[in-house]
Amino acid sequence: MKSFLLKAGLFVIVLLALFIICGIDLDSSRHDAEYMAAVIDKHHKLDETPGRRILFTGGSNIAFGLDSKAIEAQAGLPVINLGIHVRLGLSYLLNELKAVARRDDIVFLSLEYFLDEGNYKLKRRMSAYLPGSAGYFTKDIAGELDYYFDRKFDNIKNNRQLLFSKLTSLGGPASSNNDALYARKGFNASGDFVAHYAEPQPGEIQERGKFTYQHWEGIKKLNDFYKWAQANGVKVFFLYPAYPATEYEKNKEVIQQYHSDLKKELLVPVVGRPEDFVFDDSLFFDTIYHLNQEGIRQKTARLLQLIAGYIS
Amino acid sequence: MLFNSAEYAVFLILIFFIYWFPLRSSMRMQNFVLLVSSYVFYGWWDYRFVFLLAFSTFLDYYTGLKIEQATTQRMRKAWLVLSVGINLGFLGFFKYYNFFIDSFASLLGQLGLQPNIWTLNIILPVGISFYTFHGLSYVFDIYNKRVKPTANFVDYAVFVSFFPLLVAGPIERATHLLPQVQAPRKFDYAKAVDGLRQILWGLFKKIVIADTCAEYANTIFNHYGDYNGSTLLLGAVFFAFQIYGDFSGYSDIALGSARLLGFDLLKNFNYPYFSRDIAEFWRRWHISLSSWFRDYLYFPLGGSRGGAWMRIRNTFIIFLVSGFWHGANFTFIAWGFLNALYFLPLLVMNKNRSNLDIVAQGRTLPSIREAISMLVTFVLVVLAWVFFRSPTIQDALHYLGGIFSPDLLQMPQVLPKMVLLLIAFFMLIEWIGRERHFALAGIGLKWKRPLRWGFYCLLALLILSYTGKEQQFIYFQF
Repeated sequence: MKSFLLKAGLFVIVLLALFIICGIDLDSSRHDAEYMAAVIDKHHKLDETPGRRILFTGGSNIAFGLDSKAIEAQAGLPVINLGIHVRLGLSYLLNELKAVARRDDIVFLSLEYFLDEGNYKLKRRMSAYLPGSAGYFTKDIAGELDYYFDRKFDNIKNNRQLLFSKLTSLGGPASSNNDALYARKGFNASGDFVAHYAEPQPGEIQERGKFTYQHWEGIKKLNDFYKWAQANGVKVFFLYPAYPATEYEKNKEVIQQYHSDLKKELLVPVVGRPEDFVFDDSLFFDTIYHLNQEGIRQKTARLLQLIAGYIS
Repeated sequence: MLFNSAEYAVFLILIFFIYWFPLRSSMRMQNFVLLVSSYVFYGWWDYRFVFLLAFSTFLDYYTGLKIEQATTQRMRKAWLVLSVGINLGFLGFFKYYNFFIDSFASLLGQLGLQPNIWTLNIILPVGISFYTFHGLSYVFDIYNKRVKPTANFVDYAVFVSFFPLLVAGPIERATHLLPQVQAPRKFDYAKAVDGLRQILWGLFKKIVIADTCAEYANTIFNHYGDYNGSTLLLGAVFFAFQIYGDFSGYSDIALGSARLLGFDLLKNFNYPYFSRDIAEFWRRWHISLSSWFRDYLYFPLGGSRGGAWMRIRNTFIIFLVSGFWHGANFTFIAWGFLNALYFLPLLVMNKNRSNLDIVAQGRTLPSIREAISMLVTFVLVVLAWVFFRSPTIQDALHYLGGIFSPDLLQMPQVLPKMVLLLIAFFMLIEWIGRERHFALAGIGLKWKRPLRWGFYCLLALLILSYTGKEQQFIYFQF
């Protein structure tokens, strides 16, 4: 038994060492093209845009839900869409705004319903693209360990594909269309995701289960943020995300309670009502928060009516 | 808890230490730990299933004792019928109720009637077909006086619910496993190392081969109308390797896990894709189920004693029942029927037992005749798998029609050469190891340790590089 345990232990150590070695990233350039790397371009745009700006932030509902140029044309102010991914979480988005918003900027918070604190690995990944974003979230050891192994697995997979393609000159398994679609190059200069405009709808939109009502903890965080914005001369408004009609019907009661809580407790002015942002299911692309081109056109038109008074 | 999950790895390590360290001197305590851990393992899917397993276990334990105690043959038979009836009743309800109701409604519909049929939203308890057959084999063996019932409930419950074999076999026999449960076990270094090797090879089969092939098989089968004949054939070949890698990989992990705890389970696969005829294939594929049907259905039906027609009739019954055992769908019955048809010429010519040895035993390569026989058998098996994989008979027929179309000779539209390379590597190892109880058992044993460990590490790294897209084991649904 002793011999068995010793040898098994030694084998695990050897395997772990090889895992770490084989998990070295041999093709770091691939990360430049990844969807989340769009944060680099968005922050570059923020840096190079002088004066007052209109900033939209949120998860992918706003990345896939805005025609910034149309807003820009009406407002006469540059518009930057900061939306990327819902799993970055509320605190991350608010801390990002605190880092980039300037006096007189107008900020629209277009947040997915009951937005939570997101996924640590995703936030940590963002700091690889944009080192400054490491300050938008709190680091923790368990999360770092999880992230480390997650990267190693990812690198090993990629290195295996590289090796196989070198060995056979045949390339790795082809990415699905969806993988190719979700890429940094899919965003336009304003930060809107547009690569799906020409794509056929991939199938049924991904459903979500029914919401269960709970008082949203995000209200307090938004109120704290509002105080910061007031102190720093930043105008902030709250928007509801675009939502498919069938999903809205399914969750109507809970969403109305959510709306009622916001009206009662939220310091940030709320623009419109949830039903103002409900669209036919056919206007969504692949998930319940991702509008297609026509959906984006209709949503932007509706949005312009609602925010006209706030962007002049 | 899937065998290819981190949860199972932690679970197995934990059980291993509890089992061999504090409890190694007490067989009773070891069995108790095995029982509790097996129920935890099973309850991981859905705690409600545990009650069904416990009831089924108690039923067979109790009726086993009653059969033994019965003083008349009539009473023995009554207890047997009770056990079989309840066991098959549960199996029929959970697995086949909606199938029969739907089929009945469809039949009435075709007669112009519109019945108000009551179907239920029934969750199929994972592994129910396996542990039901475990229990049945026990009561059959007691009834046939092949085994004495155990009075120790824990021992019997471990025999039925032993976690490595609980959800997808091998379907054990009381004559084989129960004596092991009832005997003290000593840690055996060679057996434990062999078990780890078998787990490694099982994970390779499942994660690298089966799950990778599944990606392509699923794409092609789900959109078969979009592909030419050669792609459809390739899709069927991918499914053949998916199901083999999946199920034999599961069995390897099960056997390896059991060996770590000192048990030898029945061998379930014996290199079936190296078979030279369909009879040999069925002696090598899902052996524990085939032998179960042979012993408890084919022989009681008269086996081959009543002449050619009796043999043919019984063979068809076995294959049809075996197909139906796999699931409540006509596709499985068609799959069984097709295999019976394949079997027919061998039965008629009395050649169903002509390939009992290992192909090319003692040689590196097969003869041309053996190679052709293996290829023909493989193609037949692949074509039958189309029925197994398709959602309906119509889909299967369209799929087969698509294969045998003029564009069969065109280049496949999907040609993942990397996957083909992996399959070639896999089959090479299987070929080299075909005389052992599992392919990796003999490979590298004479190599120096760094080389041998290097090979194992290569396999392990390949497994790690393919993790992340784990799919449920196919046979869990049966």
